[in-house]
Amino acid sequence: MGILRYYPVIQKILVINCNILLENEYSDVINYQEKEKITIFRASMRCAMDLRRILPFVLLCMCYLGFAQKRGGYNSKDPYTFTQFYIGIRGGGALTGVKVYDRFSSLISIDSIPENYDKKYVNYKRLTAFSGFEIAFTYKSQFTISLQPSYRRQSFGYYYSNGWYDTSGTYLKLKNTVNIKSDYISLPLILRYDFTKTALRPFIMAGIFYDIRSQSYKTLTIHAEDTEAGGNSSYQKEQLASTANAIFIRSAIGWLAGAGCSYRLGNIRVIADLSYRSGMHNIVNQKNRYDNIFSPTGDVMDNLKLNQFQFSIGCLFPIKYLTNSYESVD
Amino acid sequence: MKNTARIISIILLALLINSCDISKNKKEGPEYVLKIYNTTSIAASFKPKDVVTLPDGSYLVLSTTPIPNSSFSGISVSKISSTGEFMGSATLDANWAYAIPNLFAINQKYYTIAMDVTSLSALLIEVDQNLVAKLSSTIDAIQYPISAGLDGDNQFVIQSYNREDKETIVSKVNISGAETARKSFPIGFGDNDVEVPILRHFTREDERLPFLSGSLGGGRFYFNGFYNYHLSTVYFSFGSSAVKPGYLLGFETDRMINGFLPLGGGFFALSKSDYKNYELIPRVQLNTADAQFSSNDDLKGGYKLPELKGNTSIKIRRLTLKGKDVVVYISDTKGKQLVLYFYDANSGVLLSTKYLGDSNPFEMGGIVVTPTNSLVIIGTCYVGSRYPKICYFSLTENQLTL
Repeated sequence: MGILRYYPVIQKILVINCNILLENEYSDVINYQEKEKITIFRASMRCAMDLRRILPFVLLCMCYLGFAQKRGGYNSKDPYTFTQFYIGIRGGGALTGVKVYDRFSSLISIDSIPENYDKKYVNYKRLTAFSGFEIAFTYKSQFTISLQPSYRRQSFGYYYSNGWYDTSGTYLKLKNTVNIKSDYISLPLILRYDFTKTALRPFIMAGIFYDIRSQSYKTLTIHAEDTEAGGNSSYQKEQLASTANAIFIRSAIGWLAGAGCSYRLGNIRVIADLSYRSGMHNIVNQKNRYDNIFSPTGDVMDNLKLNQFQFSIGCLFPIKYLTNSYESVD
Repeated sequence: MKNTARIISIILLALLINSCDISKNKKEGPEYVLKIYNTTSIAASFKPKDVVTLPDGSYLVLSTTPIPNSSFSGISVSKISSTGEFMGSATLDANWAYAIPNLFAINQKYYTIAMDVTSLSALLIEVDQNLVAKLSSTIDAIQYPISAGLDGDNQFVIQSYNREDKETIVSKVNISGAETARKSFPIGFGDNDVEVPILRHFTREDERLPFLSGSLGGGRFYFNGFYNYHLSTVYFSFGSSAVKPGYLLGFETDRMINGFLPLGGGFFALSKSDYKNYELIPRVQLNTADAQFSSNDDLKGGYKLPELKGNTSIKIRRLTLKGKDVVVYISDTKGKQLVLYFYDANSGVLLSTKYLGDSNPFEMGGIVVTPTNSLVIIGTCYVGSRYPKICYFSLTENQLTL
């Protein structure tokens, strides 16, 4: 029952994660349909927050599991004591970058000196959140295999420019700025090696992940610099927002590697790590590349994969007691 | 333990199946393509009017482009590869004014009819696959050419306006430019002065009238033009001694047929505008014999489409798509998109509707079917919402729910 002492900490982690998801984005979306979708999204997030209320029940279950697994006593020759199962919660933030394979645009320059419509990507600038849980199996306190399902957002953006000019000096220049937010259910499978068996344990880890796209959104903001009406006028010409589910395929596979440390806090482990996730293939749906409301402005997706730097914190609750004195960790 | 292994196996299998989209995505190409051929020059304006397929699968596009210091529009031809790559363009002689929205393919030679900006005579222009255009012949007997079609003998059926005698003239012209037949139809000198709308047709893009001419087969021909004061649809034979042709009477330039396609057996696919309200009539039987006449106001049962833009022309094409005999109407909407209505040619039943273009305004140009049964539509895209440039849409069969 002592585990309940950490309930306020766990609750705080959940609140922080959900708030990041809620407050992070969408402030620039004006489209009515989008607002409706965001309302639905927020409602689902509120449901997630409501999970806090059942947290004591979850923790009680964990305690029960602990009792159920209790053995008569510690025996160093008993293989039972070599292993441990953990259940825990995870959350954190990530910065997303883009690796481009092939470039595309619906605008084709037919000038003798072609205008460049290549997109300039904004990499690793937008912090997004993820949260989920972890199921881990540890062997001899040092080798861990861990499944860390999470709901995560990946956000990236780019911009490109085009312009039209007259011999009289008149011109219209457009700067098109695109923001993309893509939510995924991520299923990473990670191998972890702890360097020590002390209370504070540094570790390294590597693994693979399989992400399933949940929802994607895209906004395009066009800023104009225009002299056609007589003076130099700068204004926001247009803002478009749309779901972008058809733009991406459902699956994303990649690898990850990182390092971190865990700390024994009573009978649980608090864990923090930094990792790099790299996609292994193009996630843009080639079939639907041009089939969206943005393409007449020149904006069609390049073939690309997503990479991320992420930090994560979490708590792991052991399932088994390893000693008569109800020691579960180490 | 067995249950756990079974659950894990099921989960892994589900993930494996779900991830099939990765390998599928590598092989797939786009089912819908949009390409806009942009220039940074504001002055470089192109509005496609027609497209034909060349023997190598590429496309030849006829466009209008401004002539400096002239009220008339000039002509530009462009070539686009079968995959939508821009292969070049050429602006034709500034003395050749754009007159009719058609490109004709005859024995792998490509023709359009233009008008001399000075003499106003019809010009037969030949364009080769390398975009080299030459004046095939000047047809001095024909002035103010306003529409053209082909008959079954690869002769042009050219409608023109005789300003002196206030007549509509329809001529048959062979590819050497020789006029082989001619028939004139009185417009009349009444209160309805057709001179202004005809001159505006040549000089104002948004006031073009739906002049049409062509063959009905069996030695019968038609034109949609001015007859007896009104913009009417007239059926006739060149050699006929009948006092009056058959016709479908319009009302001045307010009520008229603006799309006309013979389907055979006396049936037609039509579109009608009535004070700029448009109706599509995908299958209707008309009596096209001499001296048979009625008003196009009598044509009932059309589908009224308030979404279609006023002053728009409607192109009707008969195509074979997904093995079906289809009549396609293509036009512009008030929402500045292109719209395609697909009807069964034999029953007149609507099969599908497709809209193209968002964000920027679009206007239709021409449509062709590729050997792989994709639809290619060439039109105008107003980039930056202002500057007209050529655009290319390609839709595979999967995009069409026929």
